[in-house]
Amino acid sequence: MNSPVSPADLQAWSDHTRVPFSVYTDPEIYRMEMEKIFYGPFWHPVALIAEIPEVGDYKTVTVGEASLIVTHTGDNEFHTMVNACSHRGVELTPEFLGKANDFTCPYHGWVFDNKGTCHVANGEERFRKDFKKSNFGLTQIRTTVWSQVIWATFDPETPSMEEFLGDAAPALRNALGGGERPLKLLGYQKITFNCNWKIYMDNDGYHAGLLHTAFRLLDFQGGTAEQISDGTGGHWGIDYGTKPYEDNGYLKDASIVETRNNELTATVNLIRPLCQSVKHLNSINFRFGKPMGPEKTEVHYAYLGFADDDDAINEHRIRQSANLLGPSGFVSIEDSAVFERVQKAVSAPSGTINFVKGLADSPDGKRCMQNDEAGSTPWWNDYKQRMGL
Amino acid sequence: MTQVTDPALLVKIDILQQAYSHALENRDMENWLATFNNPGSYELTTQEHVKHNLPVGMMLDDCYERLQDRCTYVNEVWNHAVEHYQPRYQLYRNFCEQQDDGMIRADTNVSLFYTGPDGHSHLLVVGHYQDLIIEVDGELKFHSRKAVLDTAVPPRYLIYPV
Repeated sequence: MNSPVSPADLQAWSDHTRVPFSVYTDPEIYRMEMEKIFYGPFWHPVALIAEIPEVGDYKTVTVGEASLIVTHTGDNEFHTMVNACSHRGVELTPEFLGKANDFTCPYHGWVFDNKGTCHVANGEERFRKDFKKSNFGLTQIRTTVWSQVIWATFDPETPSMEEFLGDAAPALRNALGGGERPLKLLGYQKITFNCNWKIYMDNDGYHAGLLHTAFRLLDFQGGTAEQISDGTGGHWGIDYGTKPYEDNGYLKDASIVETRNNELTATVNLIRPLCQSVKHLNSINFRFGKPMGPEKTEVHYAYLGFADDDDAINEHRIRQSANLLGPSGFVSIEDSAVFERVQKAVSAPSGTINFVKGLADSPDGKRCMQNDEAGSTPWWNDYKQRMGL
Repeated sequence: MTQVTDPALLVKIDILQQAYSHALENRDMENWLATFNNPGSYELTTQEHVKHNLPVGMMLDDCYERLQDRCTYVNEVWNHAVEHYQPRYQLYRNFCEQQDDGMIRADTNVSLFYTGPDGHSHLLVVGHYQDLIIEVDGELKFHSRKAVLDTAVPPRYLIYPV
């Protein structure tokens, strides 16, 4: 199929395992992604219940480039709405997290409850005759709850969460502690990566033992688990057991890499289009991504524990979370560096990113070994078709 | 608590602050470590975390051993892959108070600029330090240093402490 966009390497793109550089830089591609992916048939995580645990809590979040409000309105009842007054489009709240039963527009004083119903439209006696407040609620976004995560989609045709995630669901559920034990928010690490959002998503998997010096120094490598790519767009997940760390004396404070309470399951998940969730040792994090144009991506790492954690494991999770797996983490900072260095390289006028490892053993990439690149190729196959490239 | 007005003591506090930023500007982690007492601690968090009472911020070295390990990260573990940047500090002393236990509580504004390998300079973070400073053998050291950033989303990943 001929590409609808201009760069020559896109016109000639035929193999989804060899991705043209311009896919990561072209402004027109970025605009198409908003329409076909971010506002298309994908569920996007908009909040964790742990972020807005009480009725009346709310969070603002951006999906694609759309500013949204997520509200907790009742027992396991949540709403996702466009964060724009239905009158003249003013952003209703700039706060990241808050508590409110209603939102008052600062421009003309229209008031909306936290389900989005308009209750006050100042001066309505002089509005056009057919004006009804009930027709001027906030724009609602389809919302569901799965494994303590609140998800939203702009597309009424997006399949159910189970179908959306496919066989990638169990690893994600395990990353969140099985989905039923209530999670507790411990904090965030928010960062701008100077890279395209797909570079952020591409660059996990095939590198842990090669890139991450800390894994080698701590003798934390050699995973043999199978990775699974499935569901809408080829979500990617691995779910594996780990061995407790044996102190080799490298760190002065080895407690930072201890696994306590026998929580030996580790999982890494890439949920398409732009979400990651990682549980390693006793650190649990869920990463909300936000594209900021073709060459910037903002990521909010939310760190979690369990509501029933005792003080000792709570303190351990806090110490480990703040230092281990974030954008400046002891074992993970090299990821941040690679994201940005790939982006700089793909600005060249031609060239391809090549996925090669594991393709011989798993041509469809649905199941392959932990350190293979084949797990990324279902996504790129889907992306190429979905974008009409 | 009483406000510190002794010019000599204020100079000593300023010298400690300068030693800290000078060490980081020179990627001299041993001298960064030398500004802390043992036991000592360092935390990098944001105003957003303080507002919502969230304990996990950007960095947390809650004991001297963790401070030592951070020096190892920067000097040994990360060196081969990260893109180093040149930090430059602007500091402004807000207040210093002498506590009843003899320690000094200090609050200092910080603006941190950085220059990347491409030679372009940008603002990295803005915030303030909340310090507890202790005198050890006639020399001032940080007993605890908490950097609270107004910047919730830095424009690049952080390699060094702020």
